[in-house]
Amino acid sequence: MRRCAAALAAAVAACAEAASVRWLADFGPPASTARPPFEALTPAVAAGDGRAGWIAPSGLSAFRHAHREMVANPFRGRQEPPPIWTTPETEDAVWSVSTNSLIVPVPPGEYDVWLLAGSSDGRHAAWVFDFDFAAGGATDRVQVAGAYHFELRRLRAGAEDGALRLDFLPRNRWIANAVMIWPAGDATAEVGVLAPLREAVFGLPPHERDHWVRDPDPPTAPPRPPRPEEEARGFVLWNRHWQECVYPRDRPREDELDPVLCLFAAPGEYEPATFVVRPLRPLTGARVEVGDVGPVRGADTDIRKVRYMAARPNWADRGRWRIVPDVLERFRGGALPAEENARFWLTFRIPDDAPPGLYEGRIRFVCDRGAAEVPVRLRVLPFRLREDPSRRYAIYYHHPFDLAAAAPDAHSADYWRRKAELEHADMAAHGIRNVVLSVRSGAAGPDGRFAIDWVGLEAKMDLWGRHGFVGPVVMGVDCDAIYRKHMNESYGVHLRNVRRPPPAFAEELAALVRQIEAGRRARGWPEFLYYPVDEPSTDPAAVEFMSVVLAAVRSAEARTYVTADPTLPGFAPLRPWVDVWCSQPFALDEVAVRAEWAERAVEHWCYPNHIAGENDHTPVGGARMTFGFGFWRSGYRALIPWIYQGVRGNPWNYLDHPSMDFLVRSEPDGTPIPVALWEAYREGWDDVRYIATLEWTIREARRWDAPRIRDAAAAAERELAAVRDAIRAQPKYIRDDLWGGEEFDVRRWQIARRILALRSAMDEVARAAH
Amino acid sequence: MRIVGPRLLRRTEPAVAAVTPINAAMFADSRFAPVRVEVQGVRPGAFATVEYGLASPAGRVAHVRADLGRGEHVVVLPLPPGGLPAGEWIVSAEVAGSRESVWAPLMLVPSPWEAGR
Repeated sequence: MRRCAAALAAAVAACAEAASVRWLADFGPPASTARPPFEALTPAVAAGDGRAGWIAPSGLSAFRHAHREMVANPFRGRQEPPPIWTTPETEDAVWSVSTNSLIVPVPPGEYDVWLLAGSSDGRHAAWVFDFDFAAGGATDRVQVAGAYHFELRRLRAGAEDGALRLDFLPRNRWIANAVMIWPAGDATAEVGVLAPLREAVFGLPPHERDHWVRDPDPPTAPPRPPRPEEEARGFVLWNRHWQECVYPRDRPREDELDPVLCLFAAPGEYEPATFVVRPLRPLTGARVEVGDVGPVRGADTDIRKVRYMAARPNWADRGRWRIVPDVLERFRGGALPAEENARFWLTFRIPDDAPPGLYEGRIRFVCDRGAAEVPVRLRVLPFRLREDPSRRYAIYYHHPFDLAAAAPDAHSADYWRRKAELEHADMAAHGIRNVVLSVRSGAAGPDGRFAIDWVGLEAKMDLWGRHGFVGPVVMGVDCDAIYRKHMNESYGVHLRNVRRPPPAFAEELAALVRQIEAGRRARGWPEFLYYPVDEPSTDPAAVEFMSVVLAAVRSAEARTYVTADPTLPGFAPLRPWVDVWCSQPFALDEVAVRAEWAERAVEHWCYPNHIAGENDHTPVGGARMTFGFGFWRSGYRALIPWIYQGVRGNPWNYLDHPSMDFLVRSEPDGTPIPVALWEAYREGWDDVRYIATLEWTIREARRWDAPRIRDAAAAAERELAAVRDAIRAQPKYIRDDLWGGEEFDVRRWQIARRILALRSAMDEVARAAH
Repeated sequence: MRIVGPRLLRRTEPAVAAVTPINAAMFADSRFAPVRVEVQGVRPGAFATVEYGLASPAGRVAHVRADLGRGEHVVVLPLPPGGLPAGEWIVSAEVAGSRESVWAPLMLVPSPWEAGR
């Protein structure tokens, strides 16, 4: 008994000692300094004599790359924020390609071990750090892809023999900026150390934060007292149409309570649905269970939770931010904070062979205090949707193959190639059938030949073909490289520095296009649309230069693609040279667009920045309208938004860098994570597929010589015209004067009903004929 | 000299300036119709009793009163539990006791989830 008491006393003493331990290390080269309470730890510090340090210092490298000042952007002629704002912790790091361990003497006990890992060096854009981080029997895989991407991970580790051993086990290489160790659950450390660090890495550092003001939350419904069952289970269950935003503090209206999810869909179609849990108290053990809904297996349903992000209201704002619903992250369960709406985003995929019918199912939300059910009603339609080949869905794309080509090792290159594969599959599943590509060549060498990167382009075109993409391909070419060769400087963004080049410039550009065209034809690839300059300005010097450039492309018997607004008088001199105008809004009306196509074979495409991140990721209804009914109504031939993934600085920080990040995020392994806008693109694409299916069915019906079918076809045409007339046409569909979420679904259903009626009429006539 | 107008700058009596269904087309089995109502002529901090409802040529089927301040509001019109006949309907709103009513069309479309379809 006495021995037990002594052991207990020793344990208590050890725990008390452990409770006082807090070890914070900031890694970097010798010249690098640490900010208290962090201590600097260089690669040269070896473990031993009760001192924290590395087991094998000789295998380590370190760097420091700080971003603390505004930087000059010569291409835009202004001062801008750096790509990220670094802190003493993030501006330096230690890394290695070999296994290493950090030994930290600590009293016995259980500890939280935090690792901050990432690179502040822009030259690491193609580097992938893939390693296991292990301590006290716990292991976590860390994948850091590219520069400015930081991961913050926690292990709960037990120390038994007077030290914690932290192992860095690389698949290719590992990196560490800082390690923080404190007794498990030390709330003071989490508030005093972790929270400010998190704010600085994923938000703004204090010196920059002073320049920013948070926008007020949007207005919401008045408060209402919880019902007894809500009080008992600890949460309110509600819903709003998926395309309408739910902010963290939104309160439900009466019509948004007691949700029932009602969907209709065709086989092969994806269909989103959401519900919202507003915790009245902190909830633990939260999870979402989706049962089968007829032919749709619950296990196949994608379950995500909307993550709120601090975002700029406009892409280039510096000084205003707000909290917005943004990223749709996988949800595998966990805790939910009180009074913050948790919106769950489900995507049902109707199997290709799903039998038509009306099905019911349910979703259960469960937490430690209680549970609630959301009924689901699904109508599966008896037809598949058709695509409209006359309308192209394309997107700008930063191709990961370019990073693979610059990767420092095979493992990094494999990561980027796999990422491209996953992203192409994701794009194809969202209706995208075309991405903007570019080919590197540089200027011509002394022999007049270009070093065209056919290997890189072949890999991109192979991926293109495997995912069913279709041409023509918008192809960026090295126009600026040729200009620099002749003029000894770049022409700058929007041609802001351009001067008249010598005739040899145009001859060289034409030669490049001829060489690319010869290679394209030899490989049997689809047509290329040549895209030599992005967004030229209306400055007369820029327009004159563009005329020269486009004429050179035309002289090589290729078509031109220009990102400019054709309604601006300043671009009038370009009209003879442009084959495809790509403008931000639906700038021209439908009549003009169709006339230009009919009379001069000039196409009009649209890159709708206003629903691609320019105004953060919240104009979800505008995105659906732009991609669907609005596109159909516009007469434009293609949508080609900027950009599938635009990562500026830290991909999990929308306030760093001079501008906002765009669209899809990535899981650490490169798997795409959608934002709501991205899902709205697919729903818009589906809207157009419903229209295309009805138009096709009407054409089929017109081939029948039966009054009943003729009448049904005429009724379908009238209904389609009525839906078209109900669209409030706008150059930019953003938020105002749009259909509500339910109205979109009603309009789609009006079209589906007519497809059903026509099919039914044709079936009956066919049966009667037999 | 050219005179443009006249134009109403400020109302001195409470009035509903506009009523707009959030969804101009809805499924006939919807439980509620959310409606945007703009109230004018009410002093800051004061309220006017607004009546709004849904009607067809056959008569009014839903009718609600609410005290609303100046500005734009989203109010909710509960619809009959069994659903309504598909077709053209009218959403109307007026300040209680006023003869000045505003209205907007609302189309109800047969529901995809009706049993037996």
